[in-house]
This record gives sequence, structure tokens and C-alpha cells, in this order.
Amino acid sequence: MARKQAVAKEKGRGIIWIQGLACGACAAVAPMASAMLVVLLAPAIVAVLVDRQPGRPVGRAVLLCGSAACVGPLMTFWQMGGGAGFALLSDPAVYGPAWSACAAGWLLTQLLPIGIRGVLEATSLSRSARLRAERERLVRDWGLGDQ
Amino acid sequence: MARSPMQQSTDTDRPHPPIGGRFIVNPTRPLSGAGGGQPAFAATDLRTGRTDLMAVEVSRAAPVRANVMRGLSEPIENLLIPLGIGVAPGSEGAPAFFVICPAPQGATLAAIARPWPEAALVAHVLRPAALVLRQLETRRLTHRAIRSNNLFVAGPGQPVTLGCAWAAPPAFHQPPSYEPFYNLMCHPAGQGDGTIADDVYALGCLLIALATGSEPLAGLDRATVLRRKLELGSFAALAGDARMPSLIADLARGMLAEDPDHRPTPSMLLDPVTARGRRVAARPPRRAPRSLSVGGTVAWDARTLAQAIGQEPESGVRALRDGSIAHWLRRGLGDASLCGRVEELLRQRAAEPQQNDNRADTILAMRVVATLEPLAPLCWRGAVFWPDGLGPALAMANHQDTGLRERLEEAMSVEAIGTWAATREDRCDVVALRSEARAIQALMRVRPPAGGVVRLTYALNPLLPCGGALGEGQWVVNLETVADAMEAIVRDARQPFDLDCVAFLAAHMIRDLEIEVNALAAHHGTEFPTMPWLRILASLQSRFAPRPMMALANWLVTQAEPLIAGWNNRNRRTALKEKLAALAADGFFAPIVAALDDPADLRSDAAAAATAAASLARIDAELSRIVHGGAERASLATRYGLEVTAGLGLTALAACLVAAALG
Repeated sequence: MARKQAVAKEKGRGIIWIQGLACGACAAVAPMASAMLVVLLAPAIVAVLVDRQPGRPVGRAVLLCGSAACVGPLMTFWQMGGGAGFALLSDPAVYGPAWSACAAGWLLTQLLPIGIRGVLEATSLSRSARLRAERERLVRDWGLGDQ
Repeated sequence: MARSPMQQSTDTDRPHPPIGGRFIVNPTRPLSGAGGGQPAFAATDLRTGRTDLMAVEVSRAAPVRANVMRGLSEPIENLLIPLGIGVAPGSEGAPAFFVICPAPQGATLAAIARPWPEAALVAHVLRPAALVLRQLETRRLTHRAIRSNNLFVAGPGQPVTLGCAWAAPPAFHQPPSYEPFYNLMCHPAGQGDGTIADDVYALGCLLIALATGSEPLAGLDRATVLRRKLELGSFAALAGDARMPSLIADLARGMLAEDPDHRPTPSMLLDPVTARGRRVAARPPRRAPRSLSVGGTVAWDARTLAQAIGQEPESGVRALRDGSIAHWLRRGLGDASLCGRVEELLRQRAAEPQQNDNRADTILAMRVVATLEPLAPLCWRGAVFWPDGLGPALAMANHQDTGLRERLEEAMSVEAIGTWAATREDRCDVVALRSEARAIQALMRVRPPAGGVVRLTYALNPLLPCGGALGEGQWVVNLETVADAMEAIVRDARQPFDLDCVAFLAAHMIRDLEIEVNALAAHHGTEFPTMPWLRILASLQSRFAPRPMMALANWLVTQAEPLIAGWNNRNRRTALKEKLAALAADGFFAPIVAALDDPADLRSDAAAAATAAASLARIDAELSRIVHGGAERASLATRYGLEVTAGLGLTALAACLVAAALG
């Protein structure tokens, strides 16, 4: 068991290394685009770092939502050329939606579980009521509650 | 459950059915003296129109002679044979049990006070009576009621007719003078059917009475007559110094021989001259020059000594133990052989490792009596009876004498009849009596009501009416009337289901009822055995009394609650209760049995109950899971929420990428 955990830990470390290497390669090949992504996805990166759950589900959801909002600015950046990077980053209309998307993603991670739990509880209550009615009928018809 | 006035009125007004479907008893017309000492009433045969019949009323404790009822199916000239038995209203309106037979014509011989001439005695008394006895002998029956008030003569020159002897145990109403000494030793109900020689003895006594014109030993009690007969011999005690024709005296001397084997047979009596000349070399009893006192009896001979020991066994055993009896037998009576046999019995007793000394002493006394006087009946702690008189003696003891009943029970439990028979094996059929004793003992060992003394009493007396609750004010002598009687008792808010009733049913068991009656007899629980009773009553009702019995059916249905509880489904129970109530109102038992005893329905109900129980367990488990599943649901909701959010983000990303790619 301990050996398995050690193997998994070793494997995780390897992935982190690969990810770090990929990030480093990206930063070396396209430093401005990488910087832009870092700025646009700053809340998501924070969320990923803060999230200590296995698989970092909150960080992943925030990252995905934020990523969806980064597609537009990145396309604009590529179309305008490498010099427009700082101009874009200084425009709140560029990073505001990206950060808002991150916030929306985070909000969904907080609200959806509550909503789903409400639905599950309601379903359980309904099922419980049906079962109790059935039980009452059985007891009445067969006197099983006396036994 | 008290009877309504309407019901009472209906019961009273309903005419009682004729006995056997043909005989009507007229209780307002008593026939004085016709029953030979028992109450008798005029009766009519509806089938033949005969009005010259009588109904002899039976006492509850003294059962009718069932074997005679079976054996006397064809008429015998000069004998009032039984034509039927049954229950009809008696003189006081209450039901009574009657034996129907032809009414006697003329007066009883007791009414004739003058001495009869010899020729008339032979022609009109001896020969007709001997003819009747011969016919009875060929049917292996006895009369046992030959006495002056039970023989009738229609007119001068007419033969006598032997009266009814079937409505009481054998010799139950006989005056002591008409019975030999060994029967006088017995309890009046325990004299048994005896042999035809006992009838010859009674006929001999009657001849003396008619020849002398007076009843011999009249007015004396049983013990006094017995003592006279033991002291003087029967003929001397009865005839005394009375003058009578020599032919009659000679005949009576032979007929009154103490040993029944020495008496003439009925066939011999048809030729009185030959019978008179018959001399049987009977050795007179040896008489001791000095007497021996045992208890309150002074014995001069072995026979009297046997009677004394039989009457007072404790005193007898003391005298045996101290050697006074052996000494008296050897030195006083001078019978060394008899003394040797008695001493051998004493040695056997001393060698027996008996725990219960009293019982062993009683057996010793019984065997000594049988050795001293082989003609004597079985003597058990003062209870004296013949084995064939055990049934009536038990019936009488059950009714009146608890002490006698206990002694008879003890005798049966130790197989006393077999031991007694083995002691006098040249005088009886040892094998038959031993097997009978074992059968009785086996029945006694079975726990009541399947066995025990009550069941045995009914088994030995097939026409004894049922006692207990059924016997209160009613006569139930066969299975035909059981159901009706039970219905009447329940209508009076009483309980008919007692030990007597079950023992009666067990003794009168028919093949159809065997299983149910056995189940009933073996039932010892606290719950009322409703199902066996219902089945028995259904069978009795369909077989004998196809009439509605609402009260009994209603009562039994109220006892069926535990049976109804056998159904698991409450709705079915309610429906069954309603159905049973409706069936009880109809008063027939078979549909009630069918409703309660439905194995297929019970099986399907049990299967459905098992399914329901499984469903309940599943529901309970699921409810428990729901109650305790809050944390699991919360975890699930969080996981789903995060997954859904990730999914939405991924969808949005994919949509943005597609939009960007498409320009």
C-alpha cells in the first residue's frame, strides 16, 4: 500500500515536471502570450493553487471557465501582433470578462452543489413518504408491525 | 346465551320422536308389577299397531344389558324379549330411558299365595322355564332375573312367562335367596352375566317358593342370607323344614347345588323324573370341630373362611401371617393339601420383592380366597365382583361409591383379573381373562379422557348413558343423540365439552371419527380444541341429525378466534369472521369446517405473508438508508456540482474555440 502511494506520488511529481517544462517552453516560445494568459487567468491560477482537494475540482472548473473567456483576447492579440500585448492587458474590458468568467466559475462551484443537494433531499423525502405509506399498508394488511 | 321463551316453548311443544321410529311410550299408564320391580308403562308399536307392549324404565346408574340386546333378535316363546331401547318422556315429563318389550299377560307368581301342586309346578313352571333357559343357553345368554315377581302366568293352566331381565345389570334386582352364595358375596352390580346354571339355581329357589306358598328367607338382608347359605347349604337354608312334594324337593336339591357344575342343565329339567334321579357325588364341605374367627366372621369351613378373608382382607392377611389360618386348616379342618397350597402362596409372597406391601397383601388375600374356595368371585380389598360384572360395578361405583371405584381401579391397574384367573385355572378360561385384564390395564394406563376409568366404564357398558354435563336431565346412550344434546346444553348457557363427553365419544368411536376423537382425547392444552369438535359435530350432524344447531355453531365459532388468527392477512380474517358468523347463523357445521380448514388458502396466505414481510424489511432498510444518508447525499451533491461546473466551463471553452475558429 505504502509502495503504491509512493509510486503515485512519484508519478504526480513527474507530471508536474512535465507541466512546468511545457509552461517554460511556452514562456520561451511566446513570452507575451504567456504573460497575457497568466494575467487573464490569474484568479484561476490562484484557485488551482488554493484548492487542496484531490484533482483540484474547484480550480479546474474556475480554470476552464476562465479559459473560455481568454479565447477572444488571445485571438485579438494574435491578430494585432506582439506589440499590442501591454495595451490589451491594460484594458479592463479585456481582463474584466476573463476574471468575471473565473468568478462565475467559482460561484458555480459553490452554488451548484447546494442546488443539487436540495434536489437530492427533495427526492429522498418524496421516496421516504412513498415508502412509509407502503409500510403502513403492509402493517395494516398483514399485522407485521405486531411481530 | 339463555334460551328465549320462544325456543323453550318450541322445544316443549315438539313431540318426542318415537323410540326406534316405531314405539310410543304412554307415561300416564303405568303397568304395576309388570317390570319385575322396575317402573313400567304401556307402550304402542306404530308399525304393527300392537298395544300390548310395555316400556321398562332404566335407572341411570344401572346400565342396560347390551349383550342381550344384540343376542336376542328373534322371539322366544314364554320370554319377554327386548324389542327396542330408546329415550322418551317419563312419568314426570323429563326424558327417561326405556327398554321396550311385550307386556306380560296375567299376574306375577308373587301374587299367588297358595302352594302349587306338583303337577302344575312341573307342567306350567318348570318345563316352560327350562325350555326358555335352554334356548337362552344355545344363544350363550342368561336371564338372571328369575324370581316370583318377574314370572307371569296368564291364567289357570297356562305356562309361565319369564319377565324382562334386560333393563338392569344381571341379577341386580334379585332377592338374595334366589342367588347362590358366590353371587351373594358380590356387589349387587358386579354379579355378571354368569352361566345358565345360575338361572337354574334361581328356578330351584322359585320351585321351593311356589311349592311352599311362601318366599324363602323373605325379609332377610343379603349378609344374613349369605351366612345362612354358607352355614346350612342352599337347599337347607331355603327349604328348611317346609313340606313340599318329594319330586320338587329332589329337583330343587339338585338345582340348588352349590357348585354350578353339579346342577342339572335346562335340557335335563325338561324330563323332571330323570333329572330327579340324577345324583352328583358332591363331597359335602369339610367342617372343622372348632371355629376360626377372622374379623367379624366365625368360620367353620373353608368356604366361610374364604368369604371372611374376602370381606375383611386385612384381618385375613394378619391371620395368614401369624399362622393361625394354616394351623386351623391343618389341625382344625384336617385338610393338609389345602393348607399346603395356602402356605405355598404365603412363601411366594415372602419371596416377592414388592415395594407396596398393601398391594401385595391384597393380591395374597385374593389368591388365598380363590384357593380356599374356587367358586368364589374376585375379592379385592372388599370389592367383590365377577370379571364379567366389572362394567356394571364400575358404572354403579362411578355414580354412587367413590371408595368402590378406587378399589376397582386398583384391581384393574395391577391386572388382578389375570392373577385371580391363574389361581383358579380349572374354573375359568385363563387365557381369555388374562388378555382381557391386559386390555383393561392398557386402557387404564392411557391418560384420560383417551383412557382411564371413565373411558373404560363406557367401553365396558355400551348402553350406559353419558354422564357429566350431557347427562344432566338428558339421556345420551349413543352417538345419534350427542349433537342434539350438546345443542340443548349450549342453549341453556352451559358447557357440554367435558371429560365425560370425550370419554363417551372415544368409547363409542366409529371409523369416520377415529382421528378426530383421538385428537380430542389426546388434547391437553389450555386452548379449546375447536377444530376436532367441529369435525366431530359435522360428522354427527350429517350422519344422525341433519338439523340446524345455531347455538352450538355460534358458540364454537366464538371459540375459533385462534384458528382465524392462523390467517395472516387482516382483510381475509375480517372476511372469514363475517363468513363464519353467517354460517353459524345457518347452524350447520360442515360449511364452517370447510371455511376454517382450507389448506390451499392457508398456504397462499402464508406465502403472501412471507412476501409482505420481505417487502417490509426492504422498506425499513431503505428508510434507514434515507434517514442516515444525509452526509452521503451532501458529498454526492458537491461532487456533482463541481463536475457540472467543470462541464459547463469545458462546454463554454469548446464553444469559444469553435466560434474563434469559424471567425
